[in-house]
Amino acid sequence: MALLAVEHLRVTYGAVEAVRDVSFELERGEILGIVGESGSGKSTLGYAIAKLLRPPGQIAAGRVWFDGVDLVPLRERDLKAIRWRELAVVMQSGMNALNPVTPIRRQFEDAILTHRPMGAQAMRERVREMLALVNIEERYADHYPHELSGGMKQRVAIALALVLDPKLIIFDEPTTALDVVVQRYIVQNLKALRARYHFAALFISHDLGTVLEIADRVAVMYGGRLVEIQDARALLKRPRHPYTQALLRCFPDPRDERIEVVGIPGTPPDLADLRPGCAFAPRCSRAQDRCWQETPAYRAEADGSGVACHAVQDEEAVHVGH
Amino acid sequence: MRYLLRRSFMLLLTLWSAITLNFLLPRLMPGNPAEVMLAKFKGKGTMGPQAIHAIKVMLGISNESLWRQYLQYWDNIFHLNFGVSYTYFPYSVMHMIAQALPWTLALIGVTTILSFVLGTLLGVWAAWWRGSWFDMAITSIFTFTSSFPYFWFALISVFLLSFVVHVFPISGGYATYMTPSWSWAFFGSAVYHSVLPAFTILVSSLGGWQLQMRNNMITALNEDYVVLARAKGLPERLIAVGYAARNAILPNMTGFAMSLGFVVSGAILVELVFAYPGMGDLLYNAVSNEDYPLMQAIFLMIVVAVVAANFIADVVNVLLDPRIRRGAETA
Repeated sequence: MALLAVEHLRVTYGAVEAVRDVSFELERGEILGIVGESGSGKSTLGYAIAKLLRPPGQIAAGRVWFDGVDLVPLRERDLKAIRWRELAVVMQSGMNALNPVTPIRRQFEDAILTHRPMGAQAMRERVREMLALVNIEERYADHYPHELSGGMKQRVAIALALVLDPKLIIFDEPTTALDVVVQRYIVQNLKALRARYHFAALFISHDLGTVLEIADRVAVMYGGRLVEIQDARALLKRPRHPYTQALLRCFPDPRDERIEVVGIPGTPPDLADLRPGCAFAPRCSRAQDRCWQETPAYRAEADGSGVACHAVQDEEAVHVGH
Repeated sequence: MRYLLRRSFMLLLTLWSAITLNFLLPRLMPGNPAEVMLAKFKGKGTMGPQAIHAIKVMLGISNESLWRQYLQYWDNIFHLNFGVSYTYFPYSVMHMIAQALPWTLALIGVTTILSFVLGTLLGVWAAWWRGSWFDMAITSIFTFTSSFPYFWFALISVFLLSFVVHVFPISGGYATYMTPSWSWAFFGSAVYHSVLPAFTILVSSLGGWQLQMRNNMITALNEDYVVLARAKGLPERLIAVGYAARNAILPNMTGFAMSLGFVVSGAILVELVFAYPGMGDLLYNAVSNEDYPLMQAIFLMIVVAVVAANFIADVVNVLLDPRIRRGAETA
């Protein structure tokens, strides 16, 4: 059984449908990267799975099976047993994710005391150990968040997520507000931690490069829908969806003699627009008449990959037919 | 520490300029109290220059240079000697203030604190249960009451509760047949007389605190650290108090300290409507009679109280907000 199975999830903010019919599975210990541009619904998807949507955001339909339990109908009281112990969150850049008026240590301790109470001495040792994991000296435990640099705060946020050894961690843009050197350091740190603690993760980011480096599989979102999932290496070599192909063309190969940076013409879709059809059609070079009328269904395959595109599905059907 | 030293320096500078202005302003006004007095006697016969001189001497009006008067003024301040009140002659200004201040401190002081505490609590609750019937009811009621003109509401209350239905006394700080003393009977009478003014102040000021705290709290509830606290599965109480309210109250502390400072000035409208024997009433009489010494002394007290309250707000903010603490150390 997969650790996390999302089925036909739909999330709305009033009239805006931010996540549209998203389904995927996540195995134990796996890192699934979720990429997409701003407004593609990737962060909303993460918060919906963690049941942390801010009003007026709400889950309109679908199921989120976590370890065999559907989280969607659960009330806050029943979610308490899962929160942080099994499902932890690292928020966008950690800058604001730490309570500004409370020392770092207390923010570890309240999580520990709520879920797995232990003695003062053991708790001290645990905080020291967790901070050591992300290479932060123990003395910083008694500092306030604003006394730490952005990179340090982000590392503290990661250590905080690990404190109860959860099965799943949702990372929402964990490296976005940091400079590349710190980004790289955090990604290396995360890889080492994953090898040691075997947590599964959703790694949400708009930075395809970072995601390809850390994720086992990558899911691409566009206009609130999942358009493609593939193994990270395969996605880099053979992207299937025209949007993924266009995204990868935005990364020039530094070894090329003439470097040409290609953007994707057009603008991202309006999520309030509920007309049928493929959201990418206006920017797609392979758009057919059908793409404007019929929303392509995401077709999952046995190996955990899948794509939602009329052109690709037709073409591959022809190949199989031969 | 350096932060507090710097604030103390600012405090002294503010006090000095306020006191100097306080000295200058009445002297820039046209006319003087002797002329006011003379105007009162006009038509009742003429007054000789000796009589005018006698009045001036009696009231302590000097023709000395402004600079001499200024030095004299400072000397008087340090001796808490504010002269004789023109209105309440022969009582000294200090005597009149000593009479009025306790009434104001008790009534306005207690209601200000009560209003802040209650308003903040109700604001926290309303924001936490945002959209519930409790929030809807309380927030719309407070939006309504906080837009009442105070004197209108006070007059309506007096009319209904003291005149139509005789539940509360119409005016005064205590029953007219009593003399102030430390007895239970007098204390009871004073409390009984303060209920209606206290109630009207509470009703018209509670809404401001409640609405402000609700707004701050709603902003705080949307902050990442509160969402993370929910993700941590912390107890609701800890999220509401330790994470959201603890941060939401910070911007309100300065406003609260300021309003504590202004307690000293009394609430002029309240005290007028209820003929309450406090500082507001005293100030009103001082102004309408061009009673410079009394006015100056009251203004001085207000300035000192507000500046002191500001300083206390700074200290409290340093204690409550680690970000200021650190900024203070490096500054």
